[in-house]
Amino acid sequence: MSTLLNNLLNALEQIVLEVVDYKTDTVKLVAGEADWAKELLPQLSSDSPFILDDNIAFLYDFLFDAKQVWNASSNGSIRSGFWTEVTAHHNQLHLEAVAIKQENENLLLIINQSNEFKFRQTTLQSAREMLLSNDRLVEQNQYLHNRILTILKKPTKQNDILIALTKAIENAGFAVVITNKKLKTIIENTATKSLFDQQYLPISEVKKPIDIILSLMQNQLPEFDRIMSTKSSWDGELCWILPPSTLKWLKIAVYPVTNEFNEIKNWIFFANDISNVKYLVQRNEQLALHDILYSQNYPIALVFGKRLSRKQQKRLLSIYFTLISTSSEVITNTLAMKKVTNF
Amino acid sequence: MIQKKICLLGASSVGKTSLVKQFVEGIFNEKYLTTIGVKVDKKLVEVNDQSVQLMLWDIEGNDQYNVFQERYLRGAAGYIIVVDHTRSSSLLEGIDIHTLARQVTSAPAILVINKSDLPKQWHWQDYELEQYKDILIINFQQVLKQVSK
Repeated sequence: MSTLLNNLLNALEQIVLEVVDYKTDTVKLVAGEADWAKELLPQLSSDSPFILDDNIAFLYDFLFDAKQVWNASSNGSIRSGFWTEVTAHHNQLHLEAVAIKQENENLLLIINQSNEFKFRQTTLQSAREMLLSNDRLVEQNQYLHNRILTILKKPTKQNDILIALTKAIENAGFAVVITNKKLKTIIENTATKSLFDQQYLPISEVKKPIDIILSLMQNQLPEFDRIMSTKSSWDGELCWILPPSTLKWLKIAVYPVTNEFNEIKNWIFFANDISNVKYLVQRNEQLALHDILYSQNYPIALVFGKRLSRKQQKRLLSIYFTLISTSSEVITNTLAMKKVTNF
Repeated sequence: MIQKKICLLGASSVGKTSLVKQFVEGIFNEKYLTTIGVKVDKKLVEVNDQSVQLMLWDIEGNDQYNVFQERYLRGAAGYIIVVDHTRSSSLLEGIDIHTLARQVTSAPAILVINKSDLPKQWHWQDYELEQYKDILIINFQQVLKQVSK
């Protein structure tokens, strides 16, 4: 194996093992000689063939799939997926194995995927935190909605209903507003006051939370009138902007409460600040963009770029540059832009 | 020495890695760090005066970003479905994973309800849980009682 190829494999953090006898799991190093590999497989220090035993349980298990590739009559390959191995020196390695059959050669590639692992972990961490946050919100919404409906539909005195409603909604982690049929607030919880805080406004300009919600729905939701007239429930995201400093993404849910004649008795409004979730989504989108433009030269981006005329590319880049100039990542994105111009 | 492969399965973020870390190293960290791929930990236990090496396969949780991969169950002596006490959706996901796992293995399975120390946000009624009690080797209600202790 040439030094050049060896250097290349070292740079790619890969080692190549030749499968001497797949029936006995015997392999031999043919290229690559990184320290991490010797830590993983101390047998690499000698040039002799050695047996892959169950000391590395994941790799040993993967050999079962690998043998199907090595035993096949045609060329092929299979990847193990990521696994984490702690070495005898207590170092964590993030690895992936690839079993290859090529022109009657059986090979086993072991790749140190630390960088790809970190990138994937960062992306999925954000995505899963977002899922968690959304799951909790949905569950709390459903639970509280059912409780409020139960209270409102019970034949109880008005005063007792208010006490029961106060108890039910007071500790909710999101804003709850219950109105009468004319959309006038009957009761709202503490979270509503803090979510729609307008302390910097003169008292004469402060709006009631229900008026803010209704105004947002009227302005941002084309089907608002239909929802109200057909007594439908709705949930979705609205953006509340209150200059100079308030910009909140709100997840709003609206539920009608009807009597036995299907007439509106009340409306229930839930509002939750999901600005943080939105931030995580944007962060994920940025990571995806980063991946597409820098490391992968993702085909969709290439095809899109090639389909644009030179003039269209310049116009697109000018819009893109205007957008990214406002962000804190001007320098990195400008580099990305340079890559786009090379289409 | 006897070796037994035990797989930890479940939706993402239910606490599989934390359970393994607590069991093997006696360490608990509140910070959530998502698992990527698989990590195998070993733990030596004594069963009836015999040493048994447990190979604990901590497998990346299943969600829209990572589908269940049955090949990881190959050779497993048993598996643990982990669900999150604060998210009822994780129970449904756990049941789905168990159904998929049953297509490739008949190894014993147990259900673990994790995070039972956190405020209860699990609003299911007992009668709703009843329907799942027969699908696991250990009676669901028994597990509930054990976990609540």
